[in-house]
Amino acid sequence: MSDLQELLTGILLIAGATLFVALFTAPFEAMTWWSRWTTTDDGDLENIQGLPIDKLSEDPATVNEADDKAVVVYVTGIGTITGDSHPPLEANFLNELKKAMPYATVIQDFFPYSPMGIPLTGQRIFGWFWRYLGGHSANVAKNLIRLRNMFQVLVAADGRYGPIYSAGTYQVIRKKLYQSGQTPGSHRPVILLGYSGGAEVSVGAAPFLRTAFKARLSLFSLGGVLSSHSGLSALDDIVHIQGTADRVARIGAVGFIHRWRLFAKSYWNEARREGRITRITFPGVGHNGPNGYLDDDSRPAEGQPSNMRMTVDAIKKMVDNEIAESERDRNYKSSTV
Amino acid sequence: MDFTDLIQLLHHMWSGALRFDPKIYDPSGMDDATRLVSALIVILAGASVLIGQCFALFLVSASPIGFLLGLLFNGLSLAIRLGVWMAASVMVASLFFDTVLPPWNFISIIFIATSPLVFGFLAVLPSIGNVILFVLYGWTTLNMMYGMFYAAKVPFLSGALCALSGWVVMSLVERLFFSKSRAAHSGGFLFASRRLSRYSSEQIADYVKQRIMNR
Repeated sequence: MSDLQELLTGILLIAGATLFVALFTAPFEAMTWWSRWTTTDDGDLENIQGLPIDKLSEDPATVNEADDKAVVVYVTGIGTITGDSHPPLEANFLNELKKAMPYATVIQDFFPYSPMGIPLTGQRIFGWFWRYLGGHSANVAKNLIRLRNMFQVLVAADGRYGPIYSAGTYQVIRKKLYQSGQTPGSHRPVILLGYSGGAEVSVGAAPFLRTAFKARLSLFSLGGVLSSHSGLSALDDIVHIQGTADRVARIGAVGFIHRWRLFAKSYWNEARREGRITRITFPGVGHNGPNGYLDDDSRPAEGQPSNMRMTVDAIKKMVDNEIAESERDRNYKSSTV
Repeated sequence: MDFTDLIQLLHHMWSGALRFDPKIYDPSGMDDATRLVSALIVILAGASVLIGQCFALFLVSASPIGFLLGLLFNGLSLAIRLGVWMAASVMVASLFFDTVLPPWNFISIIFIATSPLVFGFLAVLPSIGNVILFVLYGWTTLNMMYGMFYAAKVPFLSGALCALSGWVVMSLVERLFFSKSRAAHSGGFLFASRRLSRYSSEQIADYVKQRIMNR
């Protein structure tokens, strides 16, 4: 073996071992978070500030539901490092989304790849490392961040760790909803807008949100990497957009085998049979970056709206539909009381 | 036998079992040292499997001591269950087939056959961990069959019948003593290692949801 071959073998071995350790330790953030919750005398869980988990220290914001008709929770993709600052394509998309739906609140400052919602640059042992990577635009740095977040998606999709992880993300989403004026008595529909791995994290939190808030709850999966999660049964409606050039979403559909039609009784196939999943295909659209769902400069064909515009229109259509459904439900309930 | 010899023997028997080495399972070659090492293997296997399913210990917020006790308990409990299984199987053989055999060698064979479960800690890996655990259980079952029916030359049909009957006895004993014990419902490390770690994903979700929502 030549020196170069030895060097390459060594690098591969070290990379493989690091990858294994990263994957092996991935569930421990959620598990240590959970085990730090203490139990009150009544057996209830408390958070680290000593507050019961479902009691928040602040009052909810007051909203007029006639003007503010829906809440969209944007659960960003695996390329994120902080959750509150977004790359230019995403930031532009979110601005356009808010312009298209002035009657809806868009929550966009949520880091979904930590059960506590702590961004990679926050108070963490390797915070310095992620901050260093975040300052670089090299592909290696971006891919390391994606890999780390993808492992957390695997944790969220795992039947053992998923509920623990989702209990954490639920807590963060719930707080943000509360701050936006959503209370258990609100009628505003909640739409989880999950991009890429964010769709899986959204589905995980759905059963908790469904119990905590009685309003309609739906998922808009934007190239979502979705497993056949039990949380799917907690959603009223699921819209799944997939570009024909989106390999990531396709790999997710193949990798999570319970989505295969062979598993007829899986949550995904049940939701599909019940007609709760609407699939929309964007021809020629990829997962991210140029030619991705959020690219305003690319379009499927000449004369057609841009990818980003098509995405915003599809989301607006869904949100409008949810508002209408919510009003219908409300009218039906008031007429039967 | 000093500590180094013990470790060497442990490594020799463990790696031999993984490679389906018939000499490892040969009852004529067993003595007190190999029996001791076989017990060590099963305790390690039980502890490793629980490391793989350690979410259960985290779910009940086990203390560091509780965590270690849980691992030790799982190793010992696996050894006891397999021991009861084999003892009951041998008893059935003596009752129905008039074959009086010392149970120790069979217990050791079954203990050694759990060698693949020493990799049980790999079940921690998210999403693929459960698949790995299934593969390890399959490998262990093959090892058990190989050790019993090939290396120890137990006749297949009567051996399988005895093993099945022994399994029923073991399950009954376990239900009788463990399920009714307070520890099984206490929410402590015993509950985590014997019940919670076997919950389905739906049951785990319900458990977590109940703890979050039940106020």
